[in-house]
Amino acid sequence: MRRKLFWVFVALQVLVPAAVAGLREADVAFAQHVLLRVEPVDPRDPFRGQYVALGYGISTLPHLGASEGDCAYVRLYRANGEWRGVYAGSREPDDWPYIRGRIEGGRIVFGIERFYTSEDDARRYENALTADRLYADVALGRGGRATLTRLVIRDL
Amino acid sequence: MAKRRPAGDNTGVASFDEQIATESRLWVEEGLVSAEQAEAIRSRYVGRERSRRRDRFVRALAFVGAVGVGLGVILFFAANWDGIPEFVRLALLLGGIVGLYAAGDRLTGSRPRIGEALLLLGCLLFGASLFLVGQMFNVSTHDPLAFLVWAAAATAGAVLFRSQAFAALAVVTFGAWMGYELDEADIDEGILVALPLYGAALYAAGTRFRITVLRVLGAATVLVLLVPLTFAGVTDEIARTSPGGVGTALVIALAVAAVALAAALALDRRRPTAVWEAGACCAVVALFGVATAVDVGPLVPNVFLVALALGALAVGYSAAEPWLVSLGLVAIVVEAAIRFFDFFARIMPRSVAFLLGGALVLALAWALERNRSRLAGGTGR
Repeated sequence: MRRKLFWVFVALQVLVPAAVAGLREADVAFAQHVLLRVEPVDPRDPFRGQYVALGYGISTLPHLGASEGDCAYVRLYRANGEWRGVYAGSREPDDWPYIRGRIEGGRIVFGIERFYTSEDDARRYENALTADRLYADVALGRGGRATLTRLVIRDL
Repeated sequence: MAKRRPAGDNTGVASFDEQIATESRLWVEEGLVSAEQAEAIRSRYVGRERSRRRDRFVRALAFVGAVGVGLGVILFFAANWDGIPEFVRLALLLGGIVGLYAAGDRLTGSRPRIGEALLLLGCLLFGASLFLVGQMFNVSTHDPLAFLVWAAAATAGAVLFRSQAFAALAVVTFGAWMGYELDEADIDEGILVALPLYGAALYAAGTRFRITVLRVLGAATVLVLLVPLTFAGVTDEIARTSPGGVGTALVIALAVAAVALAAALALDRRRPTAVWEAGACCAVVALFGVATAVDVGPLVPNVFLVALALGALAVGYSAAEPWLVSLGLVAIVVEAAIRFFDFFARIMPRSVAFLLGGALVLALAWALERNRSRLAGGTGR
């Protein structure tokens, strides 16, 4: 009995990280991808040791009917190869695609505000960010759940 | 000759070596055994005590080694992380977890201390993997959740392996979850309230259910986190903070848990000091509960800290628990030093303040050490 419990205990600890990675990969594989323009949160130092802190144009959209801590949905429209929003609402839009976030400190947070990377790559992204050429490839899952897959540096 | 004490009255904070030395001397004096027999008894138990000490040393060494290996592995991955494909990294992490647990389990029979250290290292790697997988795949989850999952795994390990080390890991990771959760909610002052309540609950639970590591961590948490409150202005900040949903729920849950566990402790008839210890836990809840509503000022926490430290000394002496005596002692010395420099350093030259402060702390330590030696049975050790 104790041996069975031991192996259940070990298996659960293997399954948790594996499931996190697997579900994320499944999300990315079957989701619609959109390209969002990245804006700096802190223009002087976007690299925070292990990750680049990211902001988006849609993070500061006016939010109608949604207050602090509430979910907010932004309907996305395609323009010049990138995706943009006009406002955030408190109700899930009828039309696809849309992205779901939460209002925190007056901004809309989508859970895609950090990109973990090495220091060398971070420098490249910083330069692209300064030149306004940095975009985030975001996978939109069910209910508008966003997953950041990679950062893209676009030519001007 | 040592002051004569009735047989069996040499508990205090004496080690077993000290106790057996005193007792055997008394037995010889009372003619119960010959000097040779007393020596034979002493050497029999001295050997056992030495073996226990060696066992503790091996355990400490194994844990230090395990943590060292764990850090080495993590640093190696950190340095070479980008050169390894994501799924290879994941496989290495998961393989590492299984390998460490399997090796730990295999060694538990023949090398129990090393086995336990490897099992603990497996759990440490599990915790690290939660954060590393999040980073590798840029998973957007609620960050503090990783600490909660880690704490759950460590708790399961503590129950499964009956391991104090796993229990300690569970306590620390659960505390980290609370701290991170409050920090994420921008209620940093809430940490100063929630963690002492957590400490009181741990102490009550550890004392009631005889889990030493919970008692040590609980008592240390309460005493350490009382220190900030002894400074002017901190209690005012706490009273003015509106903790909001998460903070309020956490503080109420911890206060209820601490009081319930203290009540269970108070009903423990086997421990003579249980009622006093339960009372101290409830007093901690009351102090921090009141501090969230009104500014209690620095005087009350100062008096409270000294009272708790003296209580720890008294309970430590009464229940023959040297660690509790040491903790109370350290708390009193630190409090005396802080208050001395806080108040008197402003009104006298710095050199005089240091001289007087150092002398005061030395005198306090000397008095308490003398008392400890006396309680140890006059052995002077």
